Amino acid sequence: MDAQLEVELIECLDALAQGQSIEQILVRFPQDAAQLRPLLQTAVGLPALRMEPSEAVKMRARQNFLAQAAALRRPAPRKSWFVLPRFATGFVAAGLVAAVLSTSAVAASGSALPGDPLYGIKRTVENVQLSTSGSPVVRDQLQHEFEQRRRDEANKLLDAGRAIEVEFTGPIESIQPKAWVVGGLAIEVNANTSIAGTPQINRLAGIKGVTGPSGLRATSITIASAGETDNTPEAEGAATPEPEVGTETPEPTSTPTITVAPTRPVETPRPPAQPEPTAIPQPTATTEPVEVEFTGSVQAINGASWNIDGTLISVTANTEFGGSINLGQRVKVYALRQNNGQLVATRIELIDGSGSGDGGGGDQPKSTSTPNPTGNHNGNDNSNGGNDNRNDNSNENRNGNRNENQNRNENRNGNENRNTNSNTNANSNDR
Amino acid sequence: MTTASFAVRMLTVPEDELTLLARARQLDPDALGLIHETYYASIFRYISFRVGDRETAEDLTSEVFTRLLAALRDRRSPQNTLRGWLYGVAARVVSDHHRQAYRAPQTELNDSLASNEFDPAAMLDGKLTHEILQQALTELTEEQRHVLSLRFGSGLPINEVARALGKTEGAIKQLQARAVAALARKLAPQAVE
Repeated sequence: MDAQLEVELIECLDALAQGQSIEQILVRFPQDAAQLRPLLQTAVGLPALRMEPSEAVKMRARQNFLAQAAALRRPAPRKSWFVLPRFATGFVAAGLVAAVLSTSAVAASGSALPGDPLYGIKRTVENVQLSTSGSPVVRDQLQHEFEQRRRDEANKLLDAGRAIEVEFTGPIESIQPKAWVVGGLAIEVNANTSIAGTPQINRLAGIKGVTGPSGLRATSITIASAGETDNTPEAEGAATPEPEVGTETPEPTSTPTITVAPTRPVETPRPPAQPEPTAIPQPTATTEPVEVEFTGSVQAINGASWNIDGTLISVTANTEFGGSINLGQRVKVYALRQNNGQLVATRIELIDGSGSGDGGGGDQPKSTSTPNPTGNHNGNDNSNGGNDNRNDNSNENRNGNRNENQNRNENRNGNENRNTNSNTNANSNDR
Repeated sequence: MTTASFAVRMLTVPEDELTLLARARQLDPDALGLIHETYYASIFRYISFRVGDRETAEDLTSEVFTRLLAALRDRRSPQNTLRGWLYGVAARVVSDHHRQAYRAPQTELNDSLASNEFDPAAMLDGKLTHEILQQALTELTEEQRHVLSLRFGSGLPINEVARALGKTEGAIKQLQARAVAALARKLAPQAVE
């Protein structure tokens, strides 16, 4: 289109906007009328594309919009990290249900992912369902279902390699220096990831991050304090109605309030400062444990818990062993009685001459059971005196958390072969 | 009908829009209600012009207002022109929608566009299907689509489009003329050189 024609077209479109007809306009441009006509015809046909909104839809949209705004206006409750904002009345919520559920977008929004146009509707519908669910049980179920949805959405975004901000909640399943697993999702943690709370396996963590072709990079991780495992952090502040009264769990007074600390840089995720308690809580510092000693027969060895004539003692990596101890043998136990009454063995000695010894032998080499340097203790015994007893033990400690143990006893003469293994893992991660 | 009369007044007095924006930032329900009342129909026309489906237009129009609330909450709200901001968001929402539809096409794309049999005059007889016109629109630049949608979808006068886009009226007139010419060429290459 040359400049002259462009100027004429601008003039023609002006005239068209003022209500003149195509014929009236073209009379003024006889030389270029043939070229201008199809252009004006196109312009005249364009308004046919637009539609007028129906009053009913507009009303519903307005109600929905104002209900969302009302939810935003409400000050965030103290535990806003975990609890959705509250709707003032059931009336508003009911209105929202009517408004939201009646739109056709609801069905279509079901598969929407973060970043999609209909995603906001999907979340609104969920919030309405939460706020109008009758019983706390149903609400909990919904909450869990929605948490799962957030994780599924993140998974789908990862599959598609889309770079979208996501938020989800899940239990911490693994903590490695640069990679955690939360709610079944592997997340990359780097120096820019802000971490609030104490990272511990099984604790609930709220993750904010960005998906992409290379994986999910966490921007912030907020870890719930102990005991807060059933609630869900709020994923999106906008338009999120809060469940009705009666859902808030009382907050333990000693639990510090958890807040996201977005600016605190963390070089690497902090592993638990103390080993995760296995079966043996450590003594607390309030009262000195009392030393006790007693003798008795070993009735049962169940992992780290031994039964000595009905008295249960805990065996730790620090427990010393005087000899190879088998079931039925008499032992002398030195232990520390904790504040809670628990007995933690410091040393267990075999009393000379004791033992089930029904095999007649008793001279077989005994497997030693000294705690290994990584803190794993492995004890195997064979109660078949005189039999050929081969025992392979392999303890491997890969990162202070995982303990693998293989035992094999071979019995060549058909006698009963009893094998007991005790593994104790008490590692401190001082890295 | 005080709301309606205020709304009409608002279209021509920018100061009112600034006041309204300030109140909206406080999440004032009256201000938000007024914004919805003022812009809903216009945004709906804009979006329906571009997507050609009523239900989709309803959903996407709601999405625009949801994003407005999110922006007000996050203090990313428009500073000066609410109108321009809303239409900008509408354009993005439509683009997102088209991108998604492109990823998972629901229907076969119509390849009859720009067939030699097409006659622009048919538009006046209502013979031109929305589908063909809409597909031709997708072949324009985003800016051209935006201007045509504001002018012929929302029905905004030139000066309002200029204000929304932060351009001069002359620039908008030129953009509009070139967009119309480009569209006509897409529809009937042989009729428009």
